[in-house]
Amino acid sequence: MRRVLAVIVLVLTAALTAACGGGAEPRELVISAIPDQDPQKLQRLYGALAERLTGTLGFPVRYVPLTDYAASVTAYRRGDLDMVFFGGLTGVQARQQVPGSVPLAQRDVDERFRSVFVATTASGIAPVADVAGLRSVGGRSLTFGSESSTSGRLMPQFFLDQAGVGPNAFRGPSGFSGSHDATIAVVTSGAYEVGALNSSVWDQRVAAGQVDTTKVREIFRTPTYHDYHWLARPDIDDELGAGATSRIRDALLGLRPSDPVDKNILDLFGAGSFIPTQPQNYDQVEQVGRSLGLVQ
Amino acid sequence: MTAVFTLEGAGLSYPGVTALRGCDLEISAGERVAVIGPSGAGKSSLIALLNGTALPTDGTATTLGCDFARTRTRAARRTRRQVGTVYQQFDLVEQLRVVHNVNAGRLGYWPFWKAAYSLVRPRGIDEVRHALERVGIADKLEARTVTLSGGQKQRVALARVLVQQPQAILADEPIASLDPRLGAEVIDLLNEISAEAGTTLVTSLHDVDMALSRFQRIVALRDGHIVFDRPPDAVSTGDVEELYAAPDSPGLVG
Amino acid sequence: MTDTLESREASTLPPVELREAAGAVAGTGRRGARWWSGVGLVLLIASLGALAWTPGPLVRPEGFTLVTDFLGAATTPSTDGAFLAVVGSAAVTTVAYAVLGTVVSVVLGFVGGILSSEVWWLEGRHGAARRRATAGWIAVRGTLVLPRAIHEVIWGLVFLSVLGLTPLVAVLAIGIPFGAVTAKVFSELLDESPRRPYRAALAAGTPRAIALLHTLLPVAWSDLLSYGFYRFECAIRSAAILGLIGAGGLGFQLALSLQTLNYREVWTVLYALIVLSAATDVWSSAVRRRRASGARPGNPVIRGSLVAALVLGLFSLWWVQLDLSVLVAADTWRLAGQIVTDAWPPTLDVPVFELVVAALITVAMSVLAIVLAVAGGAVLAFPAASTGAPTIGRRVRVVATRAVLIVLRALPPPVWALLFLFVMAPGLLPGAMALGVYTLGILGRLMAESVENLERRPQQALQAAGASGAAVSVYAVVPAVAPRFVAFGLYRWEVTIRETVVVGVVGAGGLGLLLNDQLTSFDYAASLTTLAVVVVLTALVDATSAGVRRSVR
Repeated sequence: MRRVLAVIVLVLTAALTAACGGGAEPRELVISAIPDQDPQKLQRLYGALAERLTGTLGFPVRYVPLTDYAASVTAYRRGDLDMVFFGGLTGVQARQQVPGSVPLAQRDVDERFRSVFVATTASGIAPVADVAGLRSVGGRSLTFGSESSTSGRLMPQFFLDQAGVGPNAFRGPSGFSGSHDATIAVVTSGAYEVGALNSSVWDQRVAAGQVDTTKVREIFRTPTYHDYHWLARPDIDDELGAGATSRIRDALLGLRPSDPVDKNILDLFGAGSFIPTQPQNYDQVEQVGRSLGLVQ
Repeated sequence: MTAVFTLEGAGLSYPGVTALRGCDLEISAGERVAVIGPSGAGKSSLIALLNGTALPTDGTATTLGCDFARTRTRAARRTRRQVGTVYQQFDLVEQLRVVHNVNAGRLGYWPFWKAAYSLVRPRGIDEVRHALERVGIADKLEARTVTLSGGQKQRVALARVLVQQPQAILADEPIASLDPRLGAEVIDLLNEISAEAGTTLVTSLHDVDMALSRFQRIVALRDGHIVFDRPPDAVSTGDVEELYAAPDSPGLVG
Repeated sequence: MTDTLESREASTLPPVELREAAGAVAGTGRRGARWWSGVGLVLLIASLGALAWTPGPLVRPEGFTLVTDFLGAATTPSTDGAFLAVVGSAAVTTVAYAVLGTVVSVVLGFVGGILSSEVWWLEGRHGAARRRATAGWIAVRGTLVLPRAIHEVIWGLVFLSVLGLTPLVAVLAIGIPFGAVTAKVFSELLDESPRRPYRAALAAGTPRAIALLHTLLPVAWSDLLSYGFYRFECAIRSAAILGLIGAGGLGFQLALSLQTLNYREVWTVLYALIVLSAATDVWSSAVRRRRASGARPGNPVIRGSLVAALVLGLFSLWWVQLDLSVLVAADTWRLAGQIVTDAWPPTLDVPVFELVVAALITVAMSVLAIVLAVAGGAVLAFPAASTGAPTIGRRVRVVATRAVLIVLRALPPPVWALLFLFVMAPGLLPGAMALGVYTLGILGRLMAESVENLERRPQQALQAAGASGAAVSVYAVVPAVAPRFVAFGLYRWEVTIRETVVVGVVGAGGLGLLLNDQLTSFDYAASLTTLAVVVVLTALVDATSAGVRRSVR
């Protein structure tokens, strides 16, 4: 018994020492990303980007892998993340939580981003020509992807709204499959007749032969909108020195597909290159988010 | 002589049950009293009023000048420390060693840290050993309580009261769980201990012969009230027969 | 737990018990049992009725090919070296979170258990003091409902916004709700310990804390420790689910691979979870079995386990580099204050109808899940219990059934939900099935243990009298285990209510989905309102289950 007590005291001492051992942290840039395609590849090979940026920028860059949109916005708001590759909606949410945040860059594909609506062949829903045609989806069962996804939820819901199909116009409550791939799967299974997802994921899966096209097919491709972008906290210059923000932007924009290291990184993001962007690009997303109650 | 215990018109009832009613009783310092009566007469309730584990629902109960119903926790605790109680079922913590169960008698005098540390390393072993010697089981100091016999357990309970050094000892059917020979030994021990220190002793007993032969004063309870209260030599066989008679058929002693 | 209940003889009832007995006669008993069964039946029928709202056929066999795709991948899990290294390190992280979370929960449970026990507040108090103490007791018990009602994932999000990206988030997200559950169990252990020594100590003028320390803790503390080992098992599963919000560990890897439905990777992670789950199960049942058979802390298995737990705790501290300084950082308090101001006052202008419907859906889903779990658990508990002579056939049966139970509980509910969604219409049913089979895995194992711990004498007496196997189970086994099975089910019901949060994928709606939606749009004030409803619901379930347990006891 006495020995047990002694060990308990030891543990407490160790814990307290560990607690007080924090000390001065080195100045570093903490970044994260929630990509839309094969996130596990980037999240497990994140060292590549952090190393590349550290090399160019001259201060340490640390990558924190995350999967949850709300968690990454929360961490960003708290200041634990300095720069995050957000989706359109989460970027707007984050900018609202941290006013003054700067959109630094987007992928080339993000300028003309689209969602696709897919439907089971068994449902007999025919491909439609324009947004108004989405009316035919009313009364069917429908699933989105993740709740906070721009391409898997926000914009599809917006175009449905435009077609006059409100949130309660489906058969049963709409589902949230959790991801674009899961949306394909649950629609293929027939659980939902209609699904909405990111067009580039869809194209890629179809090209790779991973979609059973006898069971599920594309019925509509939405108009374009802006989606993913790198968002940086306004206090980066204070933390890492004047001009740090623009140097980071330059580093991102300077990734060349011709360079094998850069190419590898761009591939992980599903990008041809990173290009400049500006806050106005996300006004539409913000407006839609507001009208759907996703932006306060 | 100062009164140690006083009951004035004391009653105790619960929804649907009346345990005691209209009890008047005064017990002075140094008296040795036996409380007798049939099962359910209210003997345990009377003991409970005397040590403050129950409060009278009518009348008043005063212990060493303290009316528990009108006393703040801290002061009540000081009074409780002066009253040691022995129970029929010994009320020991079976999982602990004997030494801890004896020490339980004076926990009321110890600060928290001391009480806590004592569970790791028992404090005041000498007094515990002395108390156990007095009740005749000195060799059981380190024994685990669960391994003891009934008689030994009751002796541990007596040792617990000894280290408490109370002004009064209450015993609630202390020998009901023991065989007659052990019972007599325990009662004798209780009487000796009380006599040595001049401690007041109140014991409830169902063994009338034991009560009449070993106590100075007999308080008889029936149906929650005191039937008689007199010295043993003034208690007749008829009194006893009437006390224990079946309620609906007087004359038949059962 | 029940073996600590004192046998109370009528002839020696001291006053307090007399009153309790008087109360009991007026209250529950047979009539109570009948009443509660009626309530249960109505709830079940209503929940089944709710299924009728699902449009179209409930089951869709054609979706089964997707399930076979998933199951097929079980034979070819990803064995890529780099990935295995990732999974290995994630497994260690998960264990570390679970260990530290358990330590926090046991400490909180210890303190909270004492402060929410009846013996601490009421024993030996009379009159006005007792009435005041009753108010205090109810207040503490009420406060403890809050942490229990909120799912670990929600706690995780709250701590994340206050503490930031630190392992402490996972540790606290496990430790706080588990601590509240442990507190509840520990308070019951204290209240069920023999009270006479405690009463005697109070009567001798011992201060309450010291009396409790000397008379009730020696009885209850080893049960608390062995319960801690059980909590550790639960914490492993919980740590895995917490990974979904980015806390790291196996859950995080699972979430990543699940996003792209990379089943081979998913299976690698699931195998890791299964192995961890099996290992902790074996360990914790070894400890608890020793305890149940009356072994003391001096027993080598128990002593060895305590030392191992200690080593594991230190290792976990080092592995996750726990930094407690964040707890006292000024920033933390500022952010905590900010969240409070964001959330307060809660939105009162809510669509009440929507909330009520969501609450009903949640209840219906949890009722169906728990009924499925108890029924399935009761069936599997017997083959999973190792009783009788250890023949080879028996051993194979026991190991096989236990393996099934382990797999059922090692797969997190979101994975189950996705699988059931493949073959069922979206709505209540796949959600209830997902939570049901998962809970079945947990309950089946607890029930098997209680079958093993059953008093053998009544069965032997019947067998000796020449009764058939069926007669023995009807007369000796079922009556003995049924109340415990019901009690386990009721305990888990509460947990299931809160777990409906993590099966949003099934599109059934409910409070969980609503909460998720509000949290993803950072509408803290509305979240608080929804949380309040969850808390009220949990309190109701708590009260109901307490009532039922009293009536079957």
